[in-house]
Amino acid sequence: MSAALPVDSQSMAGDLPKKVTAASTAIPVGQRPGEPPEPLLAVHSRTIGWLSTTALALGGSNQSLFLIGALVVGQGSIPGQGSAAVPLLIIGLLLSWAAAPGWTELVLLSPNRVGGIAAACSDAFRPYSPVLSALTGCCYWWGWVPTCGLTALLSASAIGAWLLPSIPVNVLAIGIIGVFVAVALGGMRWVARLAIPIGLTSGTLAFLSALIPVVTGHVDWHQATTFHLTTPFGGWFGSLTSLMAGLYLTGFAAPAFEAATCHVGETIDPARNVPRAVFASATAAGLYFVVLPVVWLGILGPAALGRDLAVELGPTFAPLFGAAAKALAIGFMTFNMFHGTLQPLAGASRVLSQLADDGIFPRLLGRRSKRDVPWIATLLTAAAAIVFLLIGDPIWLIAAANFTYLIAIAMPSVAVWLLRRDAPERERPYRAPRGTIGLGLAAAAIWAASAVFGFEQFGMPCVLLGLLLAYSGGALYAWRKLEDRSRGGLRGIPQSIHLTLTLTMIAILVLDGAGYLLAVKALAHSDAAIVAAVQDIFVGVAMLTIAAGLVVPGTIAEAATRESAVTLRRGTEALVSEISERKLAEERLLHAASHDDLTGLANRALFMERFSQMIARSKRRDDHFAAVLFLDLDRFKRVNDSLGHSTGDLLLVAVARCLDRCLRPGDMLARLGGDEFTILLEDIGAETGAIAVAERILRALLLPLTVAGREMYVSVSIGIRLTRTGYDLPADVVRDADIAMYQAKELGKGRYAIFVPELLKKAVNLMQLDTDLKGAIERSEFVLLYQPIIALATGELVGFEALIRWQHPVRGLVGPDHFIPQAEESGAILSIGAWVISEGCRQAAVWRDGFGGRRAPLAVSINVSATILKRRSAHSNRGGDGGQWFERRTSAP
Amino acid sequence: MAVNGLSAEHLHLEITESAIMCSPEVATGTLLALRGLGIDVHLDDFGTGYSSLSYLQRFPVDVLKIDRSFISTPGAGVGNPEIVQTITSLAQSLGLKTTAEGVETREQLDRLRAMGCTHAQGYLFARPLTATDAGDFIENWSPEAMRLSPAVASAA
Repeated sequence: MSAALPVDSQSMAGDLPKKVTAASTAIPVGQRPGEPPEPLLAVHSRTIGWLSTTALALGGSNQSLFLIGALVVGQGSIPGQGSAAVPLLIIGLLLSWAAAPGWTELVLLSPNRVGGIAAACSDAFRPYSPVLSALTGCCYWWGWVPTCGLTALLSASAIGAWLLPSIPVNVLAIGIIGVFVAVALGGMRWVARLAIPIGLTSGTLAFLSALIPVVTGHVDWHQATTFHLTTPFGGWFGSLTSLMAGLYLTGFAAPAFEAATCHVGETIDPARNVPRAVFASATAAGLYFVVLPVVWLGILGPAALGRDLAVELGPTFAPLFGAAAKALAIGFMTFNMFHGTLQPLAGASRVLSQLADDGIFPRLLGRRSKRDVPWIATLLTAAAAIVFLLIGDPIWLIAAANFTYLIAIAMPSVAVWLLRRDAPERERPYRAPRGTIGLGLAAAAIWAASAVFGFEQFGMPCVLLGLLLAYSGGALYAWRKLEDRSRGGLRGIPQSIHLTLTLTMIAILVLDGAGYLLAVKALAHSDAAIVAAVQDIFVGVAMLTIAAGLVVPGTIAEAATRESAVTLRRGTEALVSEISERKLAEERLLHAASHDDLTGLANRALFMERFSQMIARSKRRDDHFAAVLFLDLDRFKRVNDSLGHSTGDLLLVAVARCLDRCLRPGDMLARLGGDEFTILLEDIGAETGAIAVAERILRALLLPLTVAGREMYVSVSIGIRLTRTGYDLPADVVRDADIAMYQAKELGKGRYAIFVPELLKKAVNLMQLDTDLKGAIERSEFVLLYQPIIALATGELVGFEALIRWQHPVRGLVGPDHFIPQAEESGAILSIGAWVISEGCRQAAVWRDGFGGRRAPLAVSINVSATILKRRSAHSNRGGDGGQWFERRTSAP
Repeated sequence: MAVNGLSAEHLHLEITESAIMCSPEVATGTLLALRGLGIDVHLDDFGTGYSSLSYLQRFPVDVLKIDRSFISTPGAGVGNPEIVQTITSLAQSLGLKTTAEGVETREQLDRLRAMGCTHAQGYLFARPLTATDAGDFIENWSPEAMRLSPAVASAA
């Protein structure tokens, strides 16, 4: 069927899913595991290779310088581990190595991301709790910030002691940070240019400081390999506490090579260069975390390592460089520390920007300069580093930062495992060897345990600061959520289950902390072991609170959101199907109102509507034609009369099908009613286009149609009305086509006629005639003329034939040929016929009365039209007074 | 008829051949009914349509009216004498009367009478007349008038 539905089912189908989509995006269902990550906002230019990355990662190896001091000796009230530090360092390095393959896999899952392992977690944790990603990112960043400040402080003190004693160390340190900030703001290319010489110099010096004593035989190996553990108090619990505190610190071995993953999105060919840089950094870490401590212990002894290495390391260079040894030691310390200052400004700051891009941290942190530098994150990192260096006390700061850092390196191992489980199909440019995922999880578990048991060994300020730093991630996440809400036009804080649970957990933490403080105060100085146990319990509860306060609410909220999303989706689907059903019913009604029941074609109303739409749509173009074809079956009435209406209906259906086959796809066919059809031809080039269609139809109907098992021949008369689109009224066009169709009928049926204005004039005249005829009887405009009829045998006058004339007020005397056909058509013939008979009878009566006595009766012959005959028959069939005109008077004379 | 107290003999009805052929069954019923009322039925324009002779036998008609196109001619005679002869012979054999239309000349009149045509109308006798003129015509008409010249006979 050419006539399409007016209800645009496509637009309906287009609308609803749109709404559904809008609804589903409004629900922060987060990302399901296994779905591809959202497209990243920023794509970075790849400017650095594996050497630069490795050089930057060396900025993590300098951590060994802190660790050796802290582990071997301890400072202030913190118990050291003595020479047991060496196996602890080895364990720390092995744990990091165990986790490294998984980290490499993780970061390469998002080859366009920056920010390293922490930022790469956001995909994995989003389905469980976005706060977890925030927590990991923030903890990671906090792990690096003190490094930036303290390395600046150490290099400043080395430079100050040697070259610039008049300048306060803090000022010098801030100056160093300022210089590196400037370099970092210059872009990764400049960072790489600076990192490579620094890395080469510090690496060479580190290598020399180990190699020279070994080669020259100055190492007292006994000193390096006799392990003994310094414990805070007696018993196995004291030993465990001490070991855990040491293990806790050795978590800082990981930065030696996880830093190599901070610039994946900026690394050329990351799939090759990132693993290569991780491998190179891990090798370097072996030097820094195992070889150097052993050699230094052997040559300097444990006590010296707790002091200023810029001063104490001189003897390691002395056998080869003599007087220059001191300068080399200072150079080693300076360059090594430069590294530690540069790396956080470049690497850790990118965690903030990446997580801002990922929708977890405030947008502010994601701002980037023209050189693709996250300048706000960089400046924030520098500012925080300056705060740390001004606070100054390194050990408990390192411990507090280490707490956050352990969380930051434990979580990525979990993330790798989660993504292996939930998104196995994701493309993995690097796949960690079998078993290393499990090793990473084991390392993460050990780090978590050491955090619980080791953390509190560094004192109350350390615990509070560590927890505060860790929770700051939640604050940043809340900031971003409020920002998003505000952008979305929502005000205030949502009353979410997540928030409620989190606040509850924080309340528990506060109560726990208060209880802890009271207990420690009561126990003070009584029993160190009990104090340590209470502290462990507190930190354990604090850790659980972090887990429960951030992860559980997030997971619950996520589950609830997902469940409600499912419910909502179900509800939406139900709604959609209900709407569809309603639409369907509406459509059916509309279809019924706009279509012909019998043939299924459009009806008059729809045809006119479509025609009007077409005219409204099309521009006025003189070279653009449309045409309306008006079709009427010839002698259809005879079919109805002779074969019955049901056959007639079937014939109409067959004709409709036949017509439809003659049309182009865009043409519209409608049944106006009865045996009348119309066709709308859009965009025909000229008259010939419409004629071609008409001829096609006439040709098609030369063949018989099969109707109810019998072959029937039908013909149609077609009126064609061409219209230049935009000029004519639809109703006028259809009327003209109708007039042309009548012309085709008059010309002999089974043909087409094209409308010309003269036809309209003729039709108008006929209409006028109709109108005039209707009133002609009342106005007594008809007259009868009488022509005598003579009997040839006798010459007698036997009667008259009554002939009607119309005394038209304008046209004068009009003969029957000019108005009787029209009167038959309009039905006026009935009243005219009645008048003629009664007038003829009246006249006959007059003559009978006038001449009756003198001569034979005169008859009046009256012409009766076929229409009257039939009408009379219809009356008599109904049993009515069929003889209304011809009733015989019972008392006829 | 009732209003005027007219008897059936004063009224004849003329029906065209094509009107009957359009739906013969219906027409036949109607004509029979008219016949029942005593009204004469004239079959108008006979010969111009495509009536079948078998129908004619069944139709209850009284008079065949021979169409003027068979009578008139540029000359004075009957335009198509063979057809007129056939019609009149047919009518005679069926016991029907015939009325020739459009008779304009004496020669036609004589020929028609010779062919056995029973009635005639035409300008030879009179044009269609108004009721008043028709009254005068009735008044003045004498059977001998048809032997007068047409110019004198015409009262129009």
